Amino acid sequence: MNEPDVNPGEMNDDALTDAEIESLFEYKNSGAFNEPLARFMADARSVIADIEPAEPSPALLEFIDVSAPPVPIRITTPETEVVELIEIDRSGVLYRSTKRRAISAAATFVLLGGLFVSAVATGPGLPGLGQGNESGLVVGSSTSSAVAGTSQEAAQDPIKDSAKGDEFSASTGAGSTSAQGETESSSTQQRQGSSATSVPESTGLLPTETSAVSTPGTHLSTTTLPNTTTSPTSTSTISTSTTSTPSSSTSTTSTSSSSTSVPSTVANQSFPYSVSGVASVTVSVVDGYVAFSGPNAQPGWTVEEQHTDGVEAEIRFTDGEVQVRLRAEVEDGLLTVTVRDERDDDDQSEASSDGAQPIVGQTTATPDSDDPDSDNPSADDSGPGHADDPDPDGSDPDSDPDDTDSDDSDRGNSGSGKSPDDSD
Amino acid sequence: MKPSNARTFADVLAAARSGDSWAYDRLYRSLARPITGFVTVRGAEDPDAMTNEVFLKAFRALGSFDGEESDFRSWVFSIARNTLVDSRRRSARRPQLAAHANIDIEVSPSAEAEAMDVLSMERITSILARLSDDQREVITLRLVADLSLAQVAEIVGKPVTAVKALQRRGIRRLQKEIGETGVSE
Repeated sequence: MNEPDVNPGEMNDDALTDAEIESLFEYKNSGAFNEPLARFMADARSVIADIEPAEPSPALLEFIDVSAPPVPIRITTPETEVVELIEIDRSGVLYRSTKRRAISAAATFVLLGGLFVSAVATGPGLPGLGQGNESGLVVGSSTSSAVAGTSQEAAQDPIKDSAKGDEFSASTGAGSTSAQGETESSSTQQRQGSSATSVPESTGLLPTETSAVSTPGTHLSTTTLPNTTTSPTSTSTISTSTTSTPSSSTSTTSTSSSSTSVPSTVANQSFPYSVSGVASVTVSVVDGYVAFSGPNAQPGWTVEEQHTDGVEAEIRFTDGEVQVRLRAEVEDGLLTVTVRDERDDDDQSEASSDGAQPIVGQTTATPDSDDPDSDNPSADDSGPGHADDPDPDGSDPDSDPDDTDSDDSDRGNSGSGKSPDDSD
Repeated sequence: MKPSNARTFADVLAAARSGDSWAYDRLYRSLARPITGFVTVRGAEDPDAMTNEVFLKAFRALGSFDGEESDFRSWVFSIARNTLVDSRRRSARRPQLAAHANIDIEVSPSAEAEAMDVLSMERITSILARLSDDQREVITLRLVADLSLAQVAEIVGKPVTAVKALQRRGIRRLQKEIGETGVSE
């Protein structure tokens, strides 16, 4: 053994107590008794424990998923969408009507690689209609997929429409449901036992819930997809519970908001967003946490504020007193990206049609974009504490430790796994 | 099993055992850096290759592990330690290769480290090289692996009292070394 010759007598004055030694490993008031030593210990820990590992070997990659699966997206632009209006009066009578209208955005849901993927992208729009730029990206798990057309046939009886194949094509409105071109195509009246039994009938959708509410100067559209998405039995209804209110000419501020929910199965991926045409930013999900990167504002716009709080992040772009905010939140396994666009009345048309617009097809995996040790509470440094002396007998013989190797009576006992390839 | 935000270590472990790659990724990334640092300071010939080897062994033997997160950390470091020992034994049978147990690197701190007022890896390695191999092993495990005395004792196969003595002697040696030469020399 290469035990250095240290004369204990020479060290008595500088000898550290057990508590002081332990504090060197915990940084508890370590600087009070020996600052150089404490600094060395702190630096050594931070430097050694933060050495960037090389890329995993091919054998290790068989275990590790370092590249999130690509998100296959196909975009379609059907010309109509179905809006279903449901009202229930006090007698339990369900009034149901469906409307068709031309739209400018649509999505195709594709099942590939065990992921149920949908995307909504900007379409060209149709003459006389709002230029719908509202977009979203939904990815979820599914064991199968279905098709729901946005054809006129689907509009006739969306509830009875059934799965048709391997694709589900849905559409979202171009913004306000008071858009031009909306025509009522049918109206039905059904008696239901109760509202509780009637409403779910229309929710066999993918996305399972889609709503659109238009009020003067305000547009809100939210799409959510639960973690446990399964093949729907009815997939034709695109929008439910829609109310329409003509836009008010007296509105002075327009707020556009759209949300996109992404189950955390797409963790460790990045979603480039075009924020209402005024900026672009990449929303990244790393280990269940959300973060922004690469905000790039258009000329005249500035990144005013950016903060992240683990599962929540918000970034604000401003142009004078006008601001557009993008908020991303991970909750219950869902990533929700919301864009709120507040503009002057002059910009209303633009504001009401824009939103969080993922730049589909550019989703990139970022498995190593952040230090997982710093933002992962479940797998982070929550190792054993050192405050208590684990020495059961409290003795410290300070003798040559090699002489005591045969004594295993007070060995630690952590974990029960046997180390593979145990060399001892 | 799908990843969620509220994942406990038990969830991750169960997912890894069922073959979920995201769980393996989580386990790997939680310890890859300290394991790389540990085998580097302990003189591994190829720290990156050894880090891969450590995790490969751990993942293949994951079914034999049972414990909490701190136990898993201790378990993986014990694998790293055993892998180092095996590597040294192989190196010892190759006389042309120098032993790595008592490395003594004298390198000036990098400009970057000086600029950041943080000790360089070379300087840290140089100071740690003053310790005996056993002392360096104990202190490195406590420092980098964030393990308790009892866990370190289990890994190195010595009684807690012996590990404690090694730690005390090592700290004294560091104290003396730093007192004589300064930290940032």
